[in-house]
Amino acid sequence: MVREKLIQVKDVVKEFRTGFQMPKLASSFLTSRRFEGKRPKKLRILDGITFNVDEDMNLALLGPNGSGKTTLLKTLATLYMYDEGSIIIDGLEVKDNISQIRKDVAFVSPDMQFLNKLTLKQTLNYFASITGGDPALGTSFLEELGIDQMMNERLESFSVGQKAITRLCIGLQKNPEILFLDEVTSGLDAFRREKVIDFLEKHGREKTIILVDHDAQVLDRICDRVLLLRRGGTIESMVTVKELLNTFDYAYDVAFIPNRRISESEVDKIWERHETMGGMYRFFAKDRHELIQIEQNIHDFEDFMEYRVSGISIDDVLLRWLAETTEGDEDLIPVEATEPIEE
Amino acid sequence: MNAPKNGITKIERNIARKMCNITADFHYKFDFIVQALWSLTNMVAFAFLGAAVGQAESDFAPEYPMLFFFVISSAFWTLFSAPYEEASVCLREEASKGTMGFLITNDVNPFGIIIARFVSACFKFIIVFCIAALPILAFVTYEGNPLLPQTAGEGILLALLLLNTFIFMLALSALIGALGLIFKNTQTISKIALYGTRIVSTYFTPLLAFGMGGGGNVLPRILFFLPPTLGLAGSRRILIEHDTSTPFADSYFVVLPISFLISIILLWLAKRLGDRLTKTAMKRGTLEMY
Repeated sequence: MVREKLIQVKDVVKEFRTGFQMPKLASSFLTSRRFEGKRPKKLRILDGITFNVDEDMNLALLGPNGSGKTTLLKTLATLYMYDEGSIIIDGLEVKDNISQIRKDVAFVSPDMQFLNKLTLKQTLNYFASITGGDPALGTSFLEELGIDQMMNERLESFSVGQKAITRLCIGLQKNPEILFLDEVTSGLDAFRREKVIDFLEKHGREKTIILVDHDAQVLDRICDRVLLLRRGGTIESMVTVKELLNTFDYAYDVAFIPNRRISESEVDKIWERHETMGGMYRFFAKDRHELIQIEQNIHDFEDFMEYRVSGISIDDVLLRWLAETTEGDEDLIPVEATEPIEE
Repeated sequence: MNAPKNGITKIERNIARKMCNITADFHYKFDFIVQALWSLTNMVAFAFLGAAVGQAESDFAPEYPMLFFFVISSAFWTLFSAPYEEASVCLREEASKGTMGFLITNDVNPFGIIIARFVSACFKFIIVFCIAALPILAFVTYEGNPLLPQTAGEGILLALLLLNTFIFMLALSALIGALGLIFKNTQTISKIALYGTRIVSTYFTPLLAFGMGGGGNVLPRILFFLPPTLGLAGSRRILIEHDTSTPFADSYFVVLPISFLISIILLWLAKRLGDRLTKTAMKRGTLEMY
């Protein structure tokens, strides 16, 4: 039976102090202007974060720079302590049960480096001894990624991508119930990224994954929900990937290349909702009915080189949303597509 | 939670970590050779200094030539200097390697990291000691005896003195290392603490010389309770003079328990400070910074 609310986050506030922290007694003397600038300032990174994660849910944290994604991930992973609010993991308040909770979570960070003189096997054993994990649990992952034959090679000969795989393997061999992943596919080539996503897609259902990643493929295939964070550390919304796709006000994009330069009125005649990109035009359709209409109009126009139809991908959604939140934190106005897009 | 529990205790994890540190240390063979050479150079340099001084003539000077005095100084500190130096800055090292977050989220606290580092470094430097210092102690003789324990009693007492110093230096490295959780560049503080400890441990001057400022033997007698001072001054009495009594009225039955207590209290304080500063660093988000 799926446990609801495996992670409950309520009104979490996280602030970082900047500047020198004076002792309390000394700070009482610092009211004069002379010391005004020397008093510590607080920078609020997370501001009233509230959400729940069910056991079978994989969640992505998404937002522009400065929205507190990594801080939230590290706070959930018990690396940072929140200042206000509460985080309850499997019924246990993090502040009071930190050791107990740490037994069942693993945090994979892209910053983690290794002792380069150790072989892959020694490295995995080394980290397994710390986590109490089983190196065998990571073996199937390494086999799928094709680096199991490098077990006796030193990590000094590993590429950035191979080290990224090793990091993830270390997280997996602990067999955690909750896996926190920070930019887990960064540094991987296209082939290995695909393999990692495949693996997590297949085996990720056995655990709860919370990740920070800007790779649309990762979000689309591994995560059920996306927590959208605004700059300033507040929550925009928590939506399913499908809902996120539906926030786009069109469902299809038709890239059209005519044989000659055409006038604005001719373009309007094909389809009014368009965008000009050099010699190419993009027509936007809300649904399949509009798409058919555009295709019909293109064929009626006749004088074209080619046209391509593509559905809206999560890449488009993310790019637009990130651009909007970066520009001025404007609201993402959901415009419902009349035809839901398949995930 | 439903997932299989990681049935590893904190003690097991720390032992495993120490073993891993030792294994890892021996993969850096060049570094190991350099450390051995450095210790050997230090021993030889102090031996020359002692030989140059010859027999000191002040009221505070020992009755034996200063060569033996300095040989024991550098041999004794071969065991503790480098482990202390490695352990007291190891949190910064872990942070720079990006492993701090991993260790913390796996419930290995900074105090445990420092202890693991110190113990594993001690293993390494016992070997360095055997290579660089032990042959010299066996080769140099005073009144026909090498600078090694001659009886079981001397051996046991020496072992207790070394153990006491080990705990004290472990505590000191944990104390200074814990500061690294908040103040990011503690290398100079670490060096000052080490140098200060070496001075009061009678590395450079005989114990009685601390009474030069007046007060007779009051200060030397107090300092003798300090674990590194007791360790080094006591080692000299055992290894050079083959004397198992203290230089003062207090017997080892009084001095040793009090000195051990000082080490244990310092270790406890270091643990408390480490835990406190870990919480502060978690609040400030500086645990991984370096």
